[in-house]
Amino acid sequence: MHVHEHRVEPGDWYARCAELAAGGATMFDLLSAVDDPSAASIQVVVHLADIDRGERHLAWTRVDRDDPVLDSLVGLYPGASWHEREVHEMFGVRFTGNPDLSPLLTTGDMGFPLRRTTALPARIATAWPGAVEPADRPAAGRVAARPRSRPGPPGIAPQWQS
Amino acid sequence: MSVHGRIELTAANCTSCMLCVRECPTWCISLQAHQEVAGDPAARRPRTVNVLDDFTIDWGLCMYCGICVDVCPFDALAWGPDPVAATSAPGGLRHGIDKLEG
Repeated sequence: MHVHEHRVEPGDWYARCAELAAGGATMFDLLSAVDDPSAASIQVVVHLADIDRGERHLAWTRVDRDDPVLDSLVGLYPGASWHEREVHEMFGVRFTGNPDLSPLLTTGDMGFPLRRTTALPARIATAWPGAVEPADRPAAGRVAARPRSRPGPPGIAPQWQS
Repeated sequence: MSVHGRIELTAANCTSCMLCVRECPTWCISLQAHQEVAGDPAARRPRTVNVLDDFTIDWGLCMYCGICVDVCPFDALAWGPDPVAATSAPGGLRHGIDKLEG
């Protein structure tokens, strides 16, 4: 199936998706987000499908990371409600017009778990197995050359590493 | 298509390079090794090799992504056909070298 990609301004989000829905993309597949701290934004993506034509649409938009607000698509696709609820819980994006953004899993005391700047408690409490160096247990009677730089766990910010 | 039942270890191929341990997204692999002098110990700069002491995969954490199989430069890790058996004992999903060797 051919995939059409669309880059949408956040202000045009609802209107553009309404256009796609009117154009035949009647099936809502998923809505999710990607945190992009380097651009101070959160990308939101929705995947829609046009079953009759066999075409798919991926619409992307960017919202401000410090004040992420976007129009809800519930008016177009009632099934989007659950996905927006998840994105709100995991990334903190507020969807105006969604009737129920209450969290599904979190208790609200750990920030937004899927933002890249949120420390995961399990990763702080667990010792990284990759810190082991075979040279730490050298051959008898020998002083092994220790590696100059010690790697840290990938994806874990230095301030969270013990 | 090969069956991704579990990941098997060929301990003889492992150089304890730690690549799989460090790449694992779920931190399910742990490895212990020490160094030994190989070849002529009287040489001016005797060669040392890493000797694998312990290699453990915690199947309770593993998500079967296969990154460790892909990064292993020495083909010490490979997909095997048999699924990991269920267990009733705590820690029973932590398999050491004896259980990982196919």
